[in-house]
Amino acid sequence: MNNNTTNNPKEKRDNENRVRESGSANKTVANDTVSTGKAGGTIAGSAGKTGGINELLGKIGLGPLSLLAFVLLGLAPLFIDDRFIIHLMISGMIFGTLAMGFDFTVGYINIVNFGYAAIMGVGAYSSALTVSRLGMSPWLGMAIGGVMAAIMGFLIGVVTLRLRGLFAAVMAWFVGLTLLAMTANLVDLTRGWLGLRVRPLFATPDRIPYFYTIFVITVVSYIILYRLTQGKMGMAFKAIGQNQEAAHSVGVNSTKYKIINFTISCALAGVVGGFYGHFVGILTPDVMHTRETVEVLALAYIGGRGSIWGGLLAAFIIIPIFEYLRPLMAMRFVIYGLLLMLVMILYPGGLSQFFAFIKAQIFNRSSKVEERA
Amino acid sequence: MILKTENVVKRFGGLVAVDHVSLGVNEGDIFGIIGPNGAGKTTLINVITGFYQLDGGSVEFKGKDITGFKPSRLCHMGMVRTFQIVNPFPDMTVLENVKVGSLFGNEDSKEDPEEKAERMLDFIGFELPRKTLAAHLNSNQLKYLELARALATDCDVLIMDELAAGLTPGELPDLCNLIRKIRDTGVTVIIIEHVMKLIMEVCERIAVLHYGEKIAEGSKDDVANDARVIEAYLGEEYAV
Repeated sequence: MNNNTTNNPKEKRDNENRVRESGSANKTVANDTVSTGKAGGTIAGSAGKTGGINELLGKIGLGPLSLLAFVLLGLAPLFIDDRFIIHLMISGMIFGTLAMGFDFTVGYINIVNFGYAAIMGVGAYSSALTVSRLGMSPWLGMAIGGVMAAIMGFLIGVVTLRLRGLFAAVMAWFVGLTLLAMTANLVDLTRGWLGLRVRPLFATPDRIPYFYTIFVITVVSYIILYRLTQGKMGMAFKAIGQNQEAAHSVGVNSTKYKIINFTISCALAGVVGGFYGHFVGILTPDVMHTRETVEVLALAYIGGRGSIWGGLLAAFIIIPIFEYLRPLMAMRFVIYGLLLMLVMILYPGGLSQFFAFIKAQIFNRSSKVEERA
Repeated sequence: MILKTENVVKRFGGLVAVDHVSLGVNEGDIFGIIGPNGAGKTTLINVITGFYQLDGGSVEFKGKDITGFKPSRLCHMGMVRTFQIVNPFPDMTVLENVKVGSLFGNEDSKEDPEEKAERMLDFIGFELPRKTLAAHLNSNQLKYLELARALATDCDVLIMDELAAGLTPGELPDLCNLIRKIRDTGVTVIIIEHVMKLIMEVCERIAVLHYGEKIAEGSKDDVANDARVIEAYLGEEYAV
């Protein structure tokens, strides 16, 4: 009986070979076109040497442009002496990193995690409480925040397993609301709406150490998320997000990949939440409110779903605008709402699609020039 | 027998969509399942491939009871299906669509997933633009795409749900040849179909469903001459 159930690998290999033979004639043709396409690519990319560097960067998940952007961002405090601008950049990175983590779920497995801010709050409160109650270092606190949030993400993954799209989103939202209510009502632990004082991460009031902390978190998150979405796991996420039934039918274990996705994206929110608490110095249940999720969602959508970096860029554009135009702050969510509607109706690809469009234009022009030469 | 169902029952509320169906498919066969609209063919497939939970009976695959197994697990065991209403990954290219099949269908495969995807697209012999998004394909192209994606999982049993629907009669001979070619690589093929010409052309054994019940099973001549089958298809007055 058992012998029958296990596939005979040798037999399978034979089958493969047979199919391969019958397809081989056509295949050489296909190979040719592929190789010529590659040759064209290297010519366009000027020289072989830059190709090598690009490859190396590609391995760690950075393109030349993203590397340049991160280097410029990293050097910014050397040139900018304005405390306010540094503060803005920290806010941008906090929200941008959250938007990246959010996009990891919505842009790939296509589930809107409406409880995302609550998960971030779990990380923030866990970190703050381990530091104040157990006297641990804030660095360890942030790690614990990440772990707690990851556990919550795992649980959300489990409860939304059998649900898809909107239903999963609503379920995640309920989990978020429950967490918010618990935080507000467990007054003995969290001090509820009175607010919880959080020990700062650094003894100095200087903003620069905070800047570099969140900078490292942002860059590392970007690299991790980007790399995960490029590989086999990314294929599974996309397949589940685009058509769960089809994904199932060709062997994608959606249970496993959904849970992995939620766990990673929530762990990130937890770490950022931990940082947020130690940076701001006070936590109220407000940070877990759905409207905070909506803010992150808006950034992710405006940045372009499925791009990872789009949300980060959007945060750097939109958050300073609000900070500089204070009167707009009160109307923030009205503006977010309008922007979201505009993006979703007129340009669903967001900033990342716009960027791809520009890139295609430039590339086309350069290849035309080459042809003439 | 590579695939066997035993008294399979599936109900939707008061409606019995599949009513105690037992059938067996021999390894290496091209097996047809036919029946009028609403006979329960697709429901039966959904039950066999784990998309529906069954309400009674059991399914056996390669001698193992697979009742209640998930579709992804069955795929790893070597059973894969295509859908009557095409189910592509719309925002992936043709090649990526097939690559999902080769990446996840047989994770022990030594072959490079992309190469295997290319090979399968060549194998089906239907020209598909590799770099085009699936969202931009027409329904015929999508059907072939699904077939390539299913084959990329290294299946032992391939279940095709109404692949020929929507094809022109001129395209049928090619499809018949393709089905035979698939079988010749050692894959057992199960076809659910309305297009009788295709069924009669390629199938070695046929089962007929009517109102959820199996009313006949056997070689194509047996089935074509079966009084109950003629009755089901043409109406009582034509039955001899």
